[in-house]
Amino acid sequence: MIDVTGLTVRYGKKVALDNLNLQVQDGEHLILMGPNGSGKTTLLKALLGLVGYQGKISLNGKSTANLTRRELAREISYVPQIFSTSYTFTVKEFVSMGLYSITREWWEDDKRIHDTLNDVGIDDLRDKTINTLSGGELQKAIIARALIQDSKYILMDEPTAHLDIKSTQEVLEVVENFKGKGTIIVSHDLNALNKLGGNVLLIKNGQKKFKGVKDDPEFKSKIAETFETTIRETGDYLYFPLA
Amino acid sequence: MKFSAYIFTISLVFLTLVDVLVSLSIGPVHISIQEILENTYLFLFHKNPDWTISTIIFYIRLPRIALAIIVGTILGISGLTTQTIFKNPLGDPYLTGVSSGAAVGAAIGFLVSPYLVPVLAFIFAMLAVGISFAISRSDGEVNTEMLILAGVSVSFLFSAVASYIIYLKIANLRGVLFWLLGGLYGATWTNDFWLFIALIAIFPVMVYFRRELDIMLMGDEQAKSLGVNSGRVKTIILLVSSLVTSLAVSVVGIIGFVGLVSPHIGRKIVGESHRFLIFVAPLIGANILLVSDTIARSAPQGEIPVGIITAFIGAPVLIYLLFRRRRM
Repeated sequence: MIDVTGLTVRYGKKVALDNLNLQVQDGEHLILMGPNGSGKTTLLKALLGLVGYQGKISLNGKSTANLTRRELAREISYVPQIFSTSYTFTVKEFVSMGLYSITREWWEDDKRIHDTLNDVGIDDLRDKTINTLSGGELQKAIIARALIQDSKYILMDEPTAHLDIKSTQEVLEVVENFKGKGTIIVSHDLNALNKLGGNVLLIKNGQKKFKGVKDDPEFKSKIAETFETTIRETGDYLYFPLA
Repeated sequence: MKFSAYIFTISLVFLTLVDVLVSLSIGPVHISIQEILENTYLFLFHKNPDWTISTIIFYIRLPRIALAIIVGTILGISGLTTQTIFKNPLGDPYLTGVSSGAAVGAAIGFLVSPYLVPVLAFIFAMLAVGISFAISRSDGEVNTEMLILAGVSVSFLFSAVASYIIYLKIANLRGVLFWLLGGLYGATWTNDFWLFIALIAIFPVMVYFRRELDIMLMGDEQAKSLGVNSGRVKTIILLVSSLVTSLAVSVVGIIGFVGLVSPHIGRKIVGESHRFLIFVAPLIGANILLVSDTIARSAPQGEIPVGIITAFIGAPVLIYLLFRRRRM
């Protein structure tokens, strides 16, 4: 279980996260939503120890501040927002970087990499270089790199942003099949919520506004309030009306 | 890629040996390869070699060739690690202030006593590096963006001081200029020995961290989330490469372009991964400097600073690589 108490992050004078409390159970799927600048990415970074913070973050009762980078990487892996790259690592080399927390060696045995690439459906790309991949392909390679880390939790920052519809569907399918991993997904995309279900955490101005399931009667009013817009539903499919 | 990378690395070692032989034969006295091999055999087994030729080979040319290889190796590996850690293709080992610091030390040395030039160059190079690091530390880590800016600022400051001293105080401008552009004329077996010890000390450190260097190319956040203590790796590598570069500069002056261009050539051939590049970039550096120095010392009008030659070789190579990259 990830247990966050009194988490506060400041960037200079700006308060990015304001005394946030949160618990994420083993195997829980949590969708983290909030307007731009609400502190979503900052929360992920704090959990990964990438920003300084006040408050306490513990994993199964142990404070993450006492873990080395490698120990933390064995517990929590990270799927950053998609990036453009000019580096010419092959997909295999790129994904094998996820094994660093387990071994410093270059991975010679292909089986594990092969299996992981198969799981996310990009095994045919393994010898292509990452600078030649499409957005959807690179996103899946990044997910594969996080999966091979074999951690208990995966944090994902906007995994479907910048992807076309087909790639979005494929990526969400991959995420749906994470077995037994706690997952926190930052997403503006209601498709992610509709597809993956699970719990929703709404934050705004660094504060928690709601945590619960999307069927909670309170949820629709809370999300509308958080995003300062209206929300509609067709069947059990939620969407923000654009007109 | 892996198999061809092995082959390429091994052929580079052979190329270096060929370069050594060719360089041994070139000079005011031409010595044929056959004479070199014969005399080496006789010399090593105490069988009464031709002493004129042996002296030229073992006390004049070989120490200098060894120095070119050692310094080229140092510049190649420091250039590579600097480029990786700054994630900047323009990185070279002088980025943290080494060269301008050394220039100040050398200028003071020329003013006081030429014998002090290497010592002062080293001390001032480390001073400049120390200032750059001190400016760019935050939260107990080196902030690389700050370090680049600090390095540039410190370089400007030290260059100004060096220029002031040289312009106003020094009569022997040609001597200073020669030192500033780099030259291997000061080669002795003693210098070689100490630089070699330094190289032997740092090389395993760089090789040890080559896995981390690969991952750090993906950026700080990703490297950390994958388990790399990138703050520590950065500090160690930058300190070690600045230290060994300062040592090299104190002996041979400021030789440009080798540290910049060797990693680029290496990448084109064995790819991005440091797995092989960590060996290939220094080998390329050694070859570039050895060839350049052989040209520099056999110029018809007398020796010219090797920095001029490395720039003449390095700049077109770099431009060629840029063109190829643009077409990709």
